[in-house]
Amino acid sequence: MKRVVYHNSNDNDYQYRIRGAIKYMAKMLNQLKPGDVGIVCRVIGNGAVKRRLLDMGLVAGTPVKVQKYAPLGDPMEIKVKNFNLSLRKAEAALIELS
Amino acid sequence: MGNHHVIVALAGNPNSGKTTIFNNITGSHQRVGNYPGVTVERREGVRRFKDRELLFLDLPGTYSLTAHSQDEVVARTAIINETPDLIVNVLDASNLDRNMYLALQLLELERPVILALNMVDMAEKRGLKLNVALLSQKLGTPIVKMVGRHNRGTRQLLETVINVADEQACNEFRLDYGAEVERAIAEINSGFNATADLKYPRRWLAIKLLENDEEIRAIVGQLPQTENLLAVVDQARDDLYTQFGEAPEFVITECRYRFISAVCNEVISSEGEWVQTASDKIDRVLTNRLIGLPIFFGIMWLLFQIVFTIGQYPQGWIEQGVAIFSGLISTYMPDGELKSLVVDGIIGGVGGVLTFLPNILLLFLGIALLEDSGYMARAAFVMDRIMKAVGLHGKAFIPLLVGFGCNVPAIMGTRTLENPRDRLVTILVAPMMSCSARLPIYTLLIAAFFSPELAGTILFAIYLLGVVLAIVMAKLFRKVLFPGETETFVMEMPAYHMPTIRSIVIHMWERSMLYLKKAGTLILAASILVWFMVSYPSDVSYSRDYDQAKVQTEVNYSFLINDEVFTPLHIRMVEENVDFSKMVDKLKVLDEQGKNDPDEIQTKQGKLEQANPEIYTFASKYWALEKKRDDDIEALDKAQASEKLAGSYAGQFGKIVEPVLKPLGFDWKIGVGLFAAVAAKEVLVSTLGTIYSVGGVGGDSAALGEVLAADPTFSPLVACSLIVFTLLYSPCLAALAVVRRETNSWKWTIFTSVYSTILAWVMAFLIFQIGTLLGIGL
Repeated sequence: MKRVVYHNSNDNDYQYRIRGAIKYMAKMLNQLKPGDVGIVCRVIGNGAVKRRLLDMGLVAGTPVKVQKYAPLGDPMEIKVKNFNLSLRKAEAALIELS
Repeated sequence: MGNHHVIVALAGNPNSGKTTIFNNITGSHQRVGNYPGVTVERREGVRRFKDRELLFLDLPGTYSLTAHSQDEVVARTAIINETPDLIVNVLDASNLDRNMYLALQLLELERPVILALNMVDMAEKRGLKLNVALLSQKLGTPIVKMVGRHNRGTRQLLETVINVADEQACNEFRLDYGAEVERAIAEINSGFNATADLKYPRRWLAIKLLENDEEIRAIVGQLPQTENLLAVVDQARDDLYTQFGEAPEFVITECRYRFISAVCNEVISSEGEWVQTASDKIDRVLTNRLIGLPIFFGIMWLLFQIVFTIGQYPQGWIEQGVAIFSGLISTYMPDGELKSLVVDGIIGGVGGVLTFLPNILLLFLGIALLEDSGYMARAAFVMDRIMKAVGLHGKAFIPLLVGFGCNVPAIMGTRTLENPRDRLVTILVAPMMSCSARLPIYTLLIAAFFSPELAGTILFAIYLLGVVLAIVMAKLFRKVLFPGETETFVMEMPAYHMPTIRSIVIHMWERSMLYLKKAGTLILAASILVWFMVSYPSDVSYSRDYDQAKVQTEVNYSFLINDEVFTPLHIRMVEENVDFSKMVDKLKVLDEQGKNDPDEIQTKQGKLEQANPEIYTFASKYWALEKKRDDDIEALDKAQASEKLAGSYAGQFGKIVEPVLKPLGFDWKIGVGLFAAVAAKEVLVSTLGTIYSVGGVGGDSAALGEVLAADPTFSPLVACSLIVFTLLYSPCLAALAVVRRETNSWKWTIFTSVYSTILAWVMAFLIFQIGTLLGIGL
């Protein structure tokens, strides 16, 4: 396998490409349609949003199902185990599914 | 026998039915206050059971016990500081997984815990079968099955409480966090001074330190000989980070949920996954993509109608009652300063406090219905996209809407916002919603200075200006006051429930009492202060002797009547000529009856004249003179009242601030009006009425409009400037009193008053100066 080396590319650019690759491969919760089901792989980030999502039980291995999107397209409603949770799409974009 | 006095802390997730159970246990024996220094509500209640006094402390509903939210910190410090004999943790049985997350954290506080498994009927309906005995064994705590909304299981819970309190056994539950984390916990534990008296359980402290809990770090940092300890903690955290590739707090959370998942797999047997519940079916309509928003606006319209349209009837009764009462006092009290204090100051102030009560009762009836049914979360769900653009939470829409009716219930309604930052920003901008008390001011000025065709447009522009400025200020406050803080919206959508009458009544009662006790006293005191400012000093030096002038007027007219009527008729008083006296009486009656119909008066007068032309001439002359005398004396009264107000402290204040108001086109008279109107904005109309000598309280608005239009100080531009100023400047005293109550801080109360007044000044300044430059509306 040929190893790709980025000449002439600064660190930021490299980071950007890597992130783009992750995004391409992993499916995020905000990309699901109503009725779709997924399993949480991890929550990206370190901040208050992650803290809250994990407290609400969105830990690795938890199955989730998208119920619907709000009339104006945001936020969305999901089912987690035995309860319904609403969250903004920007927050759902931190939840990576496997 | 154990102790007779048992303290029980009641903990649980939001929507777990904790409040319902608390109400079932304590009934009306509740006390609501605030925890010191924060706006989190502190609720406690007493219940006598089997000769024991049980004191229940209702902790704020939380999902976790981290230091990330005020509610969570308050809940856990209450458990530590108030040393309850035991904790009752209310869990929603139909959603056990997530509810157990808090239970595990409560168990770690090493106090006896009873699990109150609530809503077991809902769980059964969802097809969940719970092995309660096994769960109790796994967690090592007693469990009571309950259905809070049907008041089932309360007795059994109380019996268990007494049993556990008598045993005084500590819970033996320890969650195993795995080899690496446990090693780190042990390492930190050995760092504590073995003899030191710590309020907190050591294992819990160690876990919290590993979780990087800011509050606990600060507390531990203040313990003697702990610099080493925090270094040990940091090292342990780094090690765990490299081992797990994730911050230890998240590792610990995942570990807890793994344990819960394992327990639940053994304890719960369920039928099928992704069951669409009754709530989901209701939501297919209520949060539907197409009709979700129309339904929401329909419900909001209904709420507004209930609060204000229905509310105006009891409001009217209260106002009438207060008027009758003050009328009674007026007739039985001798004239003087005490009477003025009682009637204008105290009764007026109490009336002012009471008039808001129907609105508050009805608003909290509506809010309790929305919250207890579960719709409130849906309202936030459908509105969040719009409110997010403004920098506010979806739930902020409801209090802001209510603000168009009255800011007082609006500010009280911000309680529905759990996040204190969201709540504060909403409180700060709520007064920009133009309340109904400001409407009489707009209509007075618009009618006086603008053509009727323009009236609607101007009125709409005012309301719009308030909304736009609220949006601008909300964004600004969010940026300046809480920079860099991202608000999470993550919100549970609780299952729909039929609200119980009991909880709604308790909710309404509690809010109203809080308003009367906390805000009411403040409003009353402030109203009396304003009354004092406009009525004193009482010994104003008038420009002329009004009493003398009034006597002189009386005398002049009696001479005039004597010369022109009595002498030609050869009488000394009216009663001496029966025909004359009857004719005068008829004229009086005619005047009173025919007030609205001048044509009818004329025809009837014509008939009277035909009947007896000679007597009619004298009688009408006599009646005209009497009326003219009364008018002249009334004019003197009004002039005196105007001078008195000008000489009062409020008048002096108006003159002092005149230079500041001049650039807005206002003179000192408007200054006095604006000052008095802080008591209640509609007072501006009556104060201007007094100062322009057109009638006192409840004066004739149309007459005042004419006088204002004739005053050279006023112009359409000044009217515009004044309208904008009254829209924006300091909220009324009642609103400020509830801001004080809801923010629990004088700082924010004063800030609200000051910032809005500055904003009002700037906006009015711009309007007047730019208008003057361009030569518009002069």
